[in-house]
Amino acid sequence: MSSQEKDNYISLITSIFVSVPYFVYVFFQYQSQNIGSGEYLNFWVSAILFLIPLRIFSEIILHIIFSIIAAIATGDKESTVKDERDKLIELKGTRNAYYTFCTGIFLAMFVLFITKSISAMFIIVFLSGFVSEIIGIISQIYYYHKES
Amino acid sequence: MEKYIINNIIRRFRFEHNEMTQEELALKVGVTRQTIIAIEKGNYSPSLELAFKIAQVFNVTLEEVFMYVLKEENKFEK
Repeated sequence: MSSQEKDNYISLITSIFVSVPYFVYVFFQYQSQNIGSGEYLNFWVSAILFLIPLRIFSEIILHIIFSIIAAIATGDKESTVKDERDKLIELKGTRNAYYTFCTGIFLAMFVLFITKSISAMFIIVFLSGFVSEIIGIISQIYYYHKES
Repeated sequence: MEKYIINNIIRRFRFEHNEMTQEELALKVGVTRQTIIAIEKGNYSPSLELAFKIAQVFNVTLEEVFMYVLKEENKFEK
């Protein structure tokens, strides 16, 4: 297994470890709080804005921890330099993630149009962001397996 | 429509060049060993630049290493 492939597995684990508990927390906050009809937008926008720095810092820390564990466990000293094949696979993964996210955004707009619910729209945006990231990583793993 | 594939005989050239390892070839052309494995198996078609670099390592022309053949005529298929 190449170092890039391992990186993908680490990214998959870290994104699940960070995003899922955060989604659960936000969802319970949304259900437990008595939010006025005009405050929904504020609640969801702040939830998304808080997610960005949380994801960046937690992913950096978890990535370092998992990389150290993986290096100790396998004793691997393989090059971490990306070549043309790695870049191509990364681009394909990003493309798949982009298509998924675009579909999610269209679905969110459609739901907003039908139900007029801002919360439903933001929940779909949240989920599509998470699902698109997972699809991007899984498709990269798939291309690595297919082409090796 | 007839389907063409890019095939290669890198493995033979490696053998003829003092049994060069995939790792050595990868280092010489600046890619990872996994990329060389994928190219040898025919699962990945390299860029023109990488193909030239590989041919240069073996001191041969591009056409001697890589062939554009009909899928049915692929003699090197495992």
